[in-house]
Amino acid sequence: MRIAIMGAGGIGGCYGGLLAQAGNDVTVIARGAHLSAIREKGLQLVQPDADFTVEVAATGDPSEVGPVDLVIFSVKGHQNPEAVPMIKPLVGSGTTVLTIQNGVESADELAQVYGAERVLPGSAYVLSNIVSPGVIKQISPVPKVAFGESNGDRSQRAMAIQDAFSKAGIDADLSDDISKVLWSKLLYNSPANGMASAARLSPRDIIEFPEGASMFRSAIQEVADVGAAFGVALGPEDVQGAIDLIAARPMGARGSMQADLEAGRPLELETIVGSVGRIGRKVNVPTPIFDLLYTLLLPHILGSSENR
Amino acid sequence: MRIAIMGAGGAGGCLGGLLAKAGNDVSLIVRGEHLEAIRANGLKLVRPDGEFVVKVEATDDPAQIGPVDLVLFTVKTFHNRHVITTLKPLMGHETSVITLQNGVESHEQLGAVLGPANILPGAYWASSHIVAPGVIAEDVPARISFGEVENTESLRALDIRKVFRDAGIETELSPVPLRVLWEKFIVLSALAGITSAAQTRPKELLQYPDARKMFCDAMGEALAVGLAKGIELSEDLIQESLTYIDGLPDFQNSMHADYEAGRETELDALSGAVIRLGKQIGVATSVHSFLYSVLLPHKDGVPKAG
Repeated sequence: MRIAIMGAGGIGGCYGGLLAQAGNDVTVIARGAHLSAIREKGLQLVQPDADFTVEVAATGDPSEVGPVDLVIFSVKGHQNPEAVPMIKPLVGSGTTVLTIQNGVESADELAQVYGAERVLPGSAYVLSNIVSPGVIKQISPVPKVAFGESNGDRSQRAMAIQDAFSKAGIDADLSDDISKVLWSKLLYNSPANGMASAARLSPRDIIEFPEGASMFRSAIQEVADVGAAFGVALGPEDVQGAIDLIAARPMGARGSMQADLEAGRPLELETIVGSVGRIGRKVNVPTPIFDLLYTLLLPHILGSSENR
Repeated sequence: MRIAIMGAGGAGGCLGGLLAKAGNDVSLIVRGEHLEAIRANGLKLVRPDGEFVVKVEATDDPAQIGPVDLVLFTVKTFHNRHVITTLKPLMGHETSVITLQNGVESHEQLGAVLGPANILPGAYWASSHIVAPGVIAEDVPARISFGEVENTESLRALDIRKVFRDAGIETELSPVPLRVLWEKFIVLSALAGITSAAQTRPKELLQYPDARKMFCDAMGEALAVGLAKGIELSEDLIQESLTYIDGLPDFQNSMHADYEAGRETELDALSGAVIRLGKQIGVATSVHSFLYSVLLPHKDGVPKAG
């Protein structure tokens, strides 16, 4: 399969490396030192019990690549204004754009430009980061991805993509209710990243305090209420599931936005935290905790001044 | 006047230096290298208009001082649990204690141990801090307000005011000191909470409309708690305080500074007190509860995990 990875960071780089190693024709779109390193030395993936380097095409300019079968859209949400139009040369009549960005709004954003029929909503489940230019460290033992057609169909193209992922050792769940999947991730990811960023402490550390645990539960409930009003069935068992996920994380394990905040990098605040309040206002559900989280973190959205 | 100052940090050190220079018999109760430096070299005060060194008594043991006329209680609130009982040797038949701490609960905490009639609630405004052991810098001249809980201009309060004024300290004798304390508390608890949680100084944070609203909402919660407790407060305080903070030059709130430096914070006397008193009297405090939940893990300084 001819695949372009838009955003070869921790997650895109991990999937790209695995898909290339399995024999797909992979091109990564990257920038700066990371791009130069991949061009010179290939893409290195350090896994929990393996370590390999794979040759991939790499460029900063999608027009050098042309239309592909699959675009995996994995940039950070705040890069969308630049990144969404940038993939235009990669998208032809037979191209599928699979978005695995955080949040629940990404597929709509891409569909507005490329048409809903070309976009597959999806979600990534892998802990993975760039450790140095050209080198990705995968921390989760088995990377996972969930995706699906918005209408729930098991389409030919979706099954072909699932097959390509599976052969690359990525656990690929072809879901018939992808909205529920995305909202279920939002249900723990938004409170976890929002609270951890505001408290400058890992989610697991916060819930050690009864006040923290109770605030966490209220934040998760806010997301569930917004989701339910939006038409996604999220019940008490989903809320409890999100709490259990946070309780199961190791002490000190940071969320991605918390890590970005501590490093002074730009934040995915709009995607992860702002989206809850934004959708809440559309469906008339108040989101007081998310409004406060957004307010407190907004001064840091562009990162620290040294990194701008 | 014979004066003992419990906690000669920025506030206590500054007042102690000025009172000693004016000829009062001042004893400072301090610890560690600050104590050693004051014993060896005296207390040095660096003010906008010059500096001076003054000899003062200094000890870490109040029993060595014995009964005094006036105690100024200026330690950080989180020390109260351990420190209040150590004041007993300073108390004679006619000893007055002025509390100059943040929050609105310290006069009751001291009253419970030392007798409520001896306590005069007070508030302190200034920007002063220890720059080196034995050296206090006073950036903004100290101002204090205090008074009798029971609305009277007592002779002792008038005497104390004269001593302070003679030492060049701007001093107000308030007929309703609790209102003064609450007015400071309402602004400070909100400002300390939001600037610490946002890790952003007031000048920058208050450029954001949502943050201004959050600041006003947090002040509104504490104001509602105060009103429910019967303190005479005006709703205008919120807008006036916002205007006042907007007019200040760039500064960092002290709790934010303590948090950033990994030191113990006064969270319990600020947002913690808004929540606690609100619960007692049935007033909801959702903004302070939120702030408390994200600041609590840092209350005792750098957390072990994280």
